[in-house]
Amino acid sequence: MNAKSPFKIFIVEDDPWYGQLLKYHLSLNPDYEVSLLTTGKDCLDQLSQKPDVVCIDYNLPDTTGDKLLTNLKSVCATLPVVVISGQEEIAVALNLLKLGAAEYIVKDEHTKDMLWNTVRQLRENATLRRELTELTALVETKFSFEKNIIGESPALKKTFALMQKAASTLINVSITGETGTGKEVVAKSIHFNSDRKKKPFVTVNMAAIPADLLESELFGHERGAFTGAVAQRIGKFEEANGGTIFLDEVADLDLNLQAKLLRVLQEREVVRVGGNQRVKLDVRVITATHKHLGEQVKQKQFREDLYYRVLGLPIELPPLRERGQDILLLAQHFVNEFAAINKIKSPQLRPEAKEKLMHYNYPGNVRELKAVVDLACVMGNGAEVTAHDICFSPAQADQEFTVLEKTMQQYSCDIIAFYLKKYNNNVVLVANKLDIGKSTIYNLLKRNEISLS
Amino acid sequence: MNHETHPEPCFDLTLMQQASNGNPAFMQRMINLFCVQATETIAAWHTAIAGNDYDAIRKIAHKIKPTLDALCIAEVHNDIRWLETIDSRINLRHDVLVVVNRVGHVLTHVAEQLQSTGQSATN
Repeated sequence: MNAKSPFKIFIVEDDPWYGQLLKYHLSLNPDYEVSLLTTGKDCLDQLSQKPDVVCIDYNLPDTTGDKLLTNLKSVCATLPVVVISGQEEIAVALNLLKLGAAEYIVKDEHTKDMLWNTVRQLRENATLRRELTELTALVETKFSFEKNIIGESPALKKTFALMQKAASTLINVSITGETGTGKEVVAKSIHFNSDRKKKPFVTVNMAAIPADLLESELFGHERGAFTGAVAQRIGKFEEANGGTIFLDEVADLDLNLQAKLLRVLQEREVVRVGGNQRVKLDVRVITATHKHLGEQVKQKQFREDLYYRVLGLPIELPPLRERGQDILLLAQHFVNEFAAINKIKSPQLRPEAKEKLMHYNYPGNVRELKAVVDLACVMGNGAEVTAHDICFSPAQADQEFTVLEKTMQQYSCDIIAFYLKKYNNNVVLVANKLDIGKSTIYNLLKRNEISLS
Repeated sequence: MNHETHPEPCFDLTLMQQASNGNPAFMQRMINLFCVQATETIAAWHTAIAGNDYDAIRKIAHKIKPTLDALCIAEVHNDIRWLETIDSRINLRHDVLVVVNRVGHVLTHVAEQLQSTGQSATN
């Protein structure tokens, strides 16, 4: 089944009147293509049509429901088979369910409605399975190194090389870098390009979870371990078993939990809070922090033994301001992404807009660039993005003059333009306010270094 | 069995009407199908009785049972279940014949009533 093809249903029923009744009822859904067959042999012969569901009567002229079910399952183990029967014996129903029947429906006045609901649920399951398969493939593609991390700068190429080494081995990885440099993206890329890509990737942000909850979050708990622990719960380490756990902001972990984390990493096993059963772990650990872990160790904020345990392969992500032309590659990527999401034609980045983008130092790194480009696409006229549409809003306002790399002349022009706008282009008034000569302003206007709004 | 003893319909079309979703053509098709099936079933039972083929008698009963239940033909409810489970080790030929005749009469009568119901519905 794909998204557009009909959902194929076989009904195998030897009572022609009853079979027609069920066929007609299911055919009321225009998405269903229903075929009525009268024998088990017919059903097996027509399997090449690849039905999505087969509904069989338990007693057929040439076979019984359990035998036909077994035959169908031997040909296609995942084919959902619904058995409809006049038999009300529980043992018969149990046996059929044990053999793999998706549902067992007794023939009575509710049969057609039960069948309708069952087929609807099976179709939803099939759709979900298909979507899961497609999304899994998409995720694998999305996190391929080339598609996921954009850039050609030497700084990034060095990072790529390290990521490749990380993906091809099982070594722990520690990622450092300023906020917004893409630490989690890199962690996911390593996971989805490793042999563990079919296994779970579990993220825990140490800074986002209150310290008193973090232990049970990481290691799980047994029922009654503490007030509110009404049921057993597995922790993130167990959830990630066989795959990768990404411990974001690991430097924010308190010293008490650091000791427990160290034990888990050393012993490669976990004991749930309030329990005594040891659960073996096979988990790759990737950590990240925007802090300098070595400094944290010096300041006794991070255990030295844990530092060496998690350090593994260190990958330091370069800040965007050190990635040169990558800024424009990323900006173009974000413009295209914005256009695709909003189903519009990709606007063109004007040269002066590119220049403006290149002269900013991005304290928020790639995350900030994306926000700036998204806003510019919204503010632009749809066809192109101009320098005027590019607005920087650094989180710390006083950084504007320190982060914008402009000449004194450019800053002067910005200030004069701001005052001209404020005082309705009254050159004399602006000259007085700024204590400069009128001719200075007129000269700038003449040279097109500023313009009247 | 005397047809005059059934002045009221001895069946219930509620399930079929619900399933038809208001489609009279489907109703008529199902009525026609029942009439053919009833005739064929009665004939098949008589052939099976003539050949002492109890397995065939059971299978024929089992095959038509869902239809009779869906139409709520209560008069044959027990008979059809008895025929579905008759024990071939005991000689029940006479009893089977009596029951098959009784069921046959009811089915014939139902078919007649359904035909007239179908005609009035389409008129």
